[in-house]
Amino acid sequence: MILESLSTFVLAWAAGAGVAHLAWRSLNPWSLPLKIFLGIGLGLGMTSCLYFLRLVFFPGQDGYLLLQGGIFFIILILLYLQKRLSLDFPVRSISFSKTSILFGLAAIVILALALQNSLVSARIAPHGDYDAHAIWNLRARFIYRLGDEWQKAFSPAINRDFHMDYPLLVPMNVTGGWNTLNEEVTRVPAVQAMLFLGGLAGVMFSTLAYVRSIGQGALAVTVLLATPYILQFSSFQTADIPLSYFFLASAVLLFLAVYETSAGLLFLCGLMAGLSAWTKNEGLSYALIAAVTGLFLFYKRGWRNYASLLGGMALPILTLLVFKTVLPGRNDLLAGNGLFEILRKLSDTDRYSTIFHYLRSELAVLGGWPSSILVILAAYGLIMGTNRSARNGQIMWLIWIVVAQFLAYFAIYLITPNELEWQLMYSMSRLLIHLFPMALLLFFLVVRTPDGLFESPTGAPRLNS
Amino acid sequence: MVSRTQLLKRLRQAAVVGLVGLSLFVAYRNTSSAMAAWNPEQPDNNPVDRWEKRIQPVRNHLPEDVTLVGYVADWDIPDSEYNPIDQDAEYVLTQYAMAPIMVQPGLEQEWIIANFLHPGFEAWLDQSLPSYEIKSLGFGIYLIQRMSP
Repeated sequence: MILESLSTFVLAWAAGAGVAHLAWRSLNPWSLPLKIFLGIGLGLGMTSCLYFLRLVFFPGQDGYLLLQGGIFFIILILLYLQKRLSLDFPVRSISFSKTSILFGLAAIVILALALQNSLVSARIAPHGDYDAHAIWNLRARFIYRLGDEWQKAFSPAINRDFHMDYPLLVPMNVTGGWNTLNEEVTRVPAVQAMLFLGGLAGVMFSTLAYVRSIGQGALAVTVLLATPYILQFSSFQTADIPLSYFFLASAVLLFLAVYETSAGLLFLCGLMAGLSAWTKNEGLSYALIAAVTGLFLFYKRGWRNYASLLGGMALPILTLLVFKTVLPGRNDLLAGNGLFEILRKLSDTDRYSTIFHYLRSELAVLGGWPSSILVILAAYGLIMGTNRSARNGQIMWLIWIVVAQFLAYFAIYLITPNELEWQLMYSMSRLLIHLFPMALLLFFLVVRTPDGLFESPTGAPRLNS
Repeated sequence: MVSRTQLLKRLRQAAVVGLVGLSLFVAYRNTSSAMAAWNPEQPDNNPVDRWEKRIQPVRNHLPEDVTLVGYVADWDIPDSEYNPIDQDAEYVLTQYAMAPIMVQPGLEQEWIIANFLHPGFEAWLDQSLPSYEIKSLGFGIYLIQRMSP
């Protein structure tokens, strides 16, 4: 059932990788895996948007696979017209040092353990965890089981504890997969979760291999996939790891776009940021931050670049607008929260201290590590020192994005109409996991690479050293 | 005598090996604890499938045109003892199992799913509903039909 479920997403993945290759002309050998891993989110994200629009405007629920095939076919034609079908990446120019092989093996072992963990978790909890029953898989069930009357899945008669206003990237792909297989196969949401987890690790690895070194990429993946909460939240089949993926992918693309000033990279960055908004409401603030950051960065480099960023956001944001218009649901953060109430909460110092108290506790056990990963990484960073690279200037923008999204979360806690301590207790670990991969990428961009540490001074030269 | 550069190199080697070693240990522990929770002899023994089996008789007893049902549980009965986390999880699982039939907390609907663990709920039902029929479906699950609005 795992392979059968995977088959419902493979075309979307291939189409997404094609979109990445079409928009980003780089033939650097490490851009190939990066495009492939970016393809997971691009493919599943675009398919989810188009499948939702198809449900809104046409009767029936079939055609999920056809949509994927359609996107794939169009991308193939566009690549053919641009004479870019031959994947002429100089992969033979990649050299593997002893260090990169050692850390690569460690990363492969961790990857195998993570895969085994995901497969076992999919058997132990095939329906995911509480939030999957209450929100993500529940929405997919409603839509799939209602057939032509799927819009009743958003009836105001449904208890608002089930958060009918949450965006639909994850449930749409599950519904599409079930319609393709003609059955509610529990492995479909599990496979989607595994794809996003693999994509998260893949984007992390190939970005660092592209701009730093293979060893640094392998080290980052080793830490990422060992993080207990990353694996747990993935097995929960919620939208948290897909959101982490889109945050990371969009940040990476912005980072690369600043360095290479590529309109294509900015288009992909906008698309990923927009897809984060189609994944969870938290993605809305991220998309806004990405748009504002892009404006600051590119207003001097011509409007074409900035227009590319906004153009990338168009499909997911349009889909989100259709969703919010056609199927209006009450947002529980805004309902019953008037301007006066918000101002009162913003001036309540007790709320700030409560949030800081929980933040301190959560940061101490960030990611579910047995010992504080922040202390471990701080010690590691102090010993290793910082990396000196021409790309360090762009890192400031990544720091800004992480901080800005963190401040957005802080503001949401300040004004939440829900009981603050309850909300902090049940959501802060998840919100920090949204930011963790971006912060980890930043860390491994800044810290010195391990290359050369285990070799004689005459070791083989490395790419991007 | 080890030079400062060599000492720093060794320290860095130790840091890298330590980070990789710790990650491998934690990753192994993650997977081991997942494996320990898995019983291949009972593949469907998860709380959701078990709850769906409990709720299935409700679906079988409901008329086909019902799209909205009520839901009451121990948490509705004044002064009753219950675990709020379990009660909430059971309500969510009931909605998950019943979809696309909507499950609304309360006694307002004609058909009501009742989930009572403790005895003594009949008195509360008698006070709250003018007339009704109740059918026990096992495991503390009942299906109530209001006989008057």
